Amino acid sequence: MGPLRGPSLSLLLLLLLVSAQCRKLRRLTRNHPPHPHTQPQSQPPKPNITLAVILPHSNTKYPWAWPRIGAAIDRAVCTVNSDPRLLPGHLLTYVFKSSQDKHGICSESMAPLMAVDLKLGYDPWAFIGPGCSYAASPVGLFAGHWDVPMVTAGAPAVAFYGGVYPSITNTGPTHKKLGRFALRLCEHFGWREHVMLVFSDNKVDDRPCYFDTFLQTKKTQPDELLIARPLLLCSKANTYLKRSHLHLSHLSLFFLLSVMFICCMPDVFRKLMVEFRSADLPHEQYVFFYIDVFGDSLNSDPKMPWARGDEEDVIAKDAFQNVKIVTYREPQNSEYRDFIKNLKEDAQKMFNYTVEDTLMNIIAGGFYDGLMLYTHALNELDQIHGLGLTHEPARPGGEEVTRRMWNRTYYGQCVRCPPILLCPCVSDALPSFCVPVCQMSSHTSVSLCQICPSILPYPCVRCPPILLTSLSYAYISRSCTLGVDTIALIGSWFRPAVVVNFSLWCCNNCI
Amino acid sequence: MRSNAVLAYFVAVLSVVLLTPCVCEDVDVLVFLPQNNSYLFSRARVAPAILYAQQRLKAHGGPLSEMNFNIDFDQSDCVNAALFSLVDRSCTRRPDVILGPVCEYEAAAVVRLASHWHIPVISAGALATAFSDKSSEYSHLTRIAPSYVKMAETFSAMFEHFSWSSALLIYEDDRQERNCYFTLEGVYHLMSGFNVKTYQVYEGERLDTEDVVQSISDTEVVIMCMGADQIRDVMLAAHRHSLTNGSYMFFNIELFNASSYGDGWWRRDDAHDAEAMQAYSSLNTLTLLKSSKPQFENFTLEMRGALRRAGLHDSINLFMEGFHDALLLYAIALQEALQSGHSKSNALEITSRMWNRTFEGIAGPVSIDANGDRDGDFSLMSMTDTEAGTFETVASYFGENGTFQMLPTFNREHFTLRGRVRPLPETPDKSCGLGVSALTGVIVGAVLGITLLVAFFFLRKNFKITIERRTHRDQCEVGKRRQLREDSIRSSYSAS
Repeated sequence: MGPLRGPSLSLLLLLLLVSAQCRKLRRLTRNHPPHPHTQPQSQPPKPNITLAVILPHSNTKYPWAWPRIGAAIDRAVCTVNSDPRLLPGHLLTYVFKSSQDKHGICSESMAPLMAVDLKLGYDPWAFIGPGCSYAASPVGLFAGHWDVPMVTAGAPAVAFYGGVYPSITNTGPTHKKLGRFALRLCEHFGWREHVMLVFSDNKVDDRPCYFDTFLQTKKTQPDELLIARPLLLCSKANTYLKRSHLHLSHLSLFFLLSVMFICCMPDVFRKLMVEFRSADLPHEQYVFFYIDVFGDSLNSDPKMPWARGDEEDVIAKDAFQNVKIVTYREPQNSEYRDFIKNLKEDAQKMFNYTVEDTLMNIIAGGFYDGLMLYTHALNELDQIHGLGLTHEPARPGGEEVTRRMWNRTYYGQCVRCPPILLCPCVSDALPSFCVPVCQMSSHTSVSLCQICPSILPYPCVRCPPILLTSLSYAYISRSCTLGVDTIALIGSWFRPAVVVNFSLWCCNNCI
Repeated sequence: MRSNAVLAYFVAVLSVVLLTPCVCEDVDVLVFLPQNNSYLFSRARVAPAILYAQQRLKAHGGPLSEMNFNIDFDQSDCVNAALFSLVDRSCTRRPDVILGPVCEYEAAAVVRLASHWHIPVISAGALATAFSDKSSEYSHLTRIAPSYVKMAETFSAMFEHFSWSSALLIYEDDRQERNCYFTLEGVYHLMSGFNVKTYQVYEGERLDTEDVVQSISDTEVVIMCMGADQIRDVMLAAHRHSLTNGSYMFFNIELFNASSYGDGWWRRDDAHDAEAMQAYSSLNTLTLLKSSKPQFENFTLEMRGALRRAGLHDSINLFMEGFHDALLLYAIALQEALQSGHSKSNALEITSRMWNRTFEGIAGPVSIDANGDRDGDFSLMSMTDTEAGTFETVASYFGENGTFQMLPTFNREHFTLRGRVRPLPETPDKSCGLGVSALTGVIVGAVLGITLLVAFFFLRKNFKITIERRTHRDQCEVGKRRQLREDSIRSSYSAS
């Protein structure tokens, strides 16, 4: 037993080692099946460029939820990989982690943890997302610290504008632009002192209405526009009505505030309008701009945001004559339509999720465009400096890539509506709330102000362009559809020039 | 035979080594403290305390001395530096335990990440109410200093004891670290059953004392957390409106600068000193309980020496004591965990051994509750000598058993709310209203008076005519009878 034990032990060890090596070899070959007819044996696999995607994985309440966006990002990555002009010699891949917490809301504590895990695990070249403002903030700070660019079409809060987040490129619609639109609107109609902001704030979720109105108080010319302190509506349905009613009559009569920008849930807004109509107030002296950027209240067909099928419908319909609904404008170009068609098919296949025809799809387009923009910027850097075809390509500095993405015009899926100018109003004799219908200028080829045709039973429509030969003035129940082009011009080099267009919807019988 | 013996010897040694748990561990301790000395918990102040604890553990002997603590101090700036630094250095090796940070927002980020990576965190800061929820993101946090909610228990006990029912919380929000906001948030959170209102002052904005006094008028107890100058302004304004007559209770919270008391507090060497002293006689201050032990004296001497070498001239604060005790607590818990067979990477086990226990810290017994938060002891100070204007401790609150102990200096009358004589103080608006109504009263009176005078004038004329007509009728009569008649008429007129 003694003399045999030594050699037998060593033989056993040798056998173990050999079998281990075989197992390792077998594992390797399983992942990389040989292609004898396409590639020569010696060609190494393409080095990876990994993108880290942080978005809510299932809560489709958010326009940047993964089932909505995932198909678009996948398609973008496929497009890049199959295009021999974009990043040749590299393989673009992405890794996804969710920013949702266990309650399903996008969480500012989960998102940075996921960012850290992704950074330490995959060393990504860029972050895509998050979309929620509170989640995007810590990730944006990390991205700045690591010098990794971050591309998102969400993160709409105004705090992202400015120098604190130098690594964020936002290819979506932001609230700063909404604020500029409101500002231009007020300037256009000469509403300098009668404006008020009303919003609801749950303080639990991403606070969309809080950010909408908050930024509107940050005006570019503070001395020109006097906005009363924003009024907060409680979310509790019972208490706010009395308070809001009190404020409407109390404040408005005493301070002559008659133009209100309101952002809250559609049901809450409808209740407020019913209250307004039932109150003893001079109704024709008020106009309400309901900020519903994704058109949630206009989802029914025909578009009747006042209708709930109860007994208050009649009052609500009357009340909505004073209402203009502000939404994002859906891009009209054919590339966008094709993109949406593909998005629907892919989302159904990948996530078994049906993408509806809502304005939220422009966020998907924004993410697609953002990814393509990043790829183009990286490609330019590759052509200039070369990223290296080694196994570990050298990641360029985030600041350099970000600089290449800014201050340029990129034609993607969503972004190409021609600029529309505001029409000059001719007479000052109008009381300030009348919305004049304007004359079309002869040297511009695009339609300016438009008038709503009279349609019964007047659902909300976006008015088709009509040529005007004469001026006519109307009361507040008439409206214009306006677009704003100022963003691209005013947008400084802090932000990329993304043209965002808005639509106004009128809900009454106009002549 | 020899090989067998060798093998047997080998096996015996191996078993001895394997079976006895060796506590000779290398423990990586990462400490986040700011270098900026404007913070009370700066590295220059607290590092000596942590190193003192490390030496004490080594000198103690026994199993605790076999642990080798590698203490590494890293940066913190109350914004993001600690978080970034933690992530950057964790590519290769993660620390075994983290001490700090203290600032609320910075601590939140670090604790979240540490809990995600299963690293225990002990901090003498992170005092905000949100950290009390240890169910998910803050599961690995142990707080070695009493949080603001614990401080609020003192108020809760007083409210029960004296049957007060409403409070106004006045705080200054600096929008950066927001210490006073979080301080009073603890009170607001704990006393949700009472009628509690808040009044917020933003840093940099002018304090409108009239508005503050107006808000005070319909409450019973005022609790303030602001800078010393602003408290003085509020107390002076309250005194001028006679709110300091005993109908209201005034408290302010000064947890950290416990040494800046005594008679210097209301004194500014300006014209209002006497008035301020009178006003402060109805102000009560809540601070941390100061305790002392023989070991503490030695610690104090060493710390003072270290502070002087660093060029600082203040005294021991709770952060120094806290971080010292933090290392002690971790060592005790780690040793127990290792003895029962766990390893130092089993963070939840170590953390649970730190909770729900009392151990002997540098300044006295330290009691950690079942939620991993320190039970706090607090002192209530008020002005006992109204001539000199000095403050003294009049009562203490012990968090471990929730008892409110009144000292001999406690004046019960001082803490009893007197009935309200005047419901509301006179405000300029009210006086303006009174003036208006007085004016109208005067005008109305004047108008009536004039009317009466005019009427009187006309009536008098009427009378005169009647009188003259009578005298004219008697013109034929002899002069004497006319005289008599006139006399009688005159007299009868004067009689009427």
